[in-house]
Amino acid sequence: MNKEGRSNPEFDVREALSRAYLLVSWGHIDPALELCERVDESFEGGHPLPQTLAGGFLVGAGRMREGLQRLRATVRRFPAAPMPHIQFAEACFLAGRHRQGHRAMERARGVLDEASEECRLWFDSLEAVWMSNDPPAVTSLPVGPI
Amino acid sequence: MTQRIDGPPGGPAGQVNQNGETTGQTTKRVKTKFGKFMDRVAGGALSAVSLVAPAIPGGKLVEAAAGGLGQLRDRAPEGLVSGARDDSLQQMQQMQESNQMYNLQYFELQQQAQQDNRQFKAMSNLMKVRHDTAKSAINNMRA
Repeated sequence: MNKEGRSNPEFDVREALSRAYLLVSWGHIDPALELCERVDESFEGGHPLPQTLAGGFLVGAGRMREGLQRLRATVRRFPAAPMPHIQFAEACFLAGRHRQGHRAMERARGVLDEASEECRLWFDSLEAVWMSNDPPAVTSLPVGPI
Repeated sequence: MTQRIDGPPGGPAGQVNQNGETTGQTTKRVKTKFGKFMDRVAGGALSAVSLVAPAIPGGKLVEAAAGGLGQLRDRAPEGLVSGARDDSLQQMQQMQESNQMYNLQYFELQQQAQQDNRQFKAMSNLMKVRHDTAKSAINNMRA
């Protein structure tokens, strides 16, 4: 945490997560994960966003097993938060675990009333792509037992 | 006397005569025979004219004309000679069939490209929406 972060923690976590997002776009996955961990610590594990983003980063980097593990833990810890459910569902679809993905989507649907507009759009988009009759032919990355 | 037989599955039925030929084969044979006959007649007539030409007044001109016609006949492209006409038709039919096949393949390729394009757009939209969600969630984060 920097000096500015101590005086204004809200600003600091936003900046840290934005930086993490930027780092991932440049392919620096580990520093981005570190930033997510630091934000998570600052919330003492009480916010779903840092771990959800970290899980998404891992999946995006092809580290499917780690990503799924982290997202599953986040979903269990925050069952009423829609974003971890949706991110977990997407990770399942990308890993070729369609049945698990469908179940995650159903759970996400159950908490969608609390979700933001963007989150609902994400859900709809995910549903349109993966739950259609013609899902994309994305090569499933090999994922071992979790 | 002709006897009706069934053709190959999906193909037209043909008729067989006493020589064991189908109607198409007979027609082709008759056409070829007729073509050869007419060819011989034309050749004979031109030779006869060439022979007789010196004996008639102004025969040099007639002889030259007959010789020219004979040369033209000898040099005629294959497609203009009666026997080769059937081959040309057959080639044309084959070309049409190939063309139809290529058209079908092109159509299938177009369908595939459209399908890929739809999927690409859907995935692109999904990624954009996910990014917007993360951005909005980060901006709305409360300590």
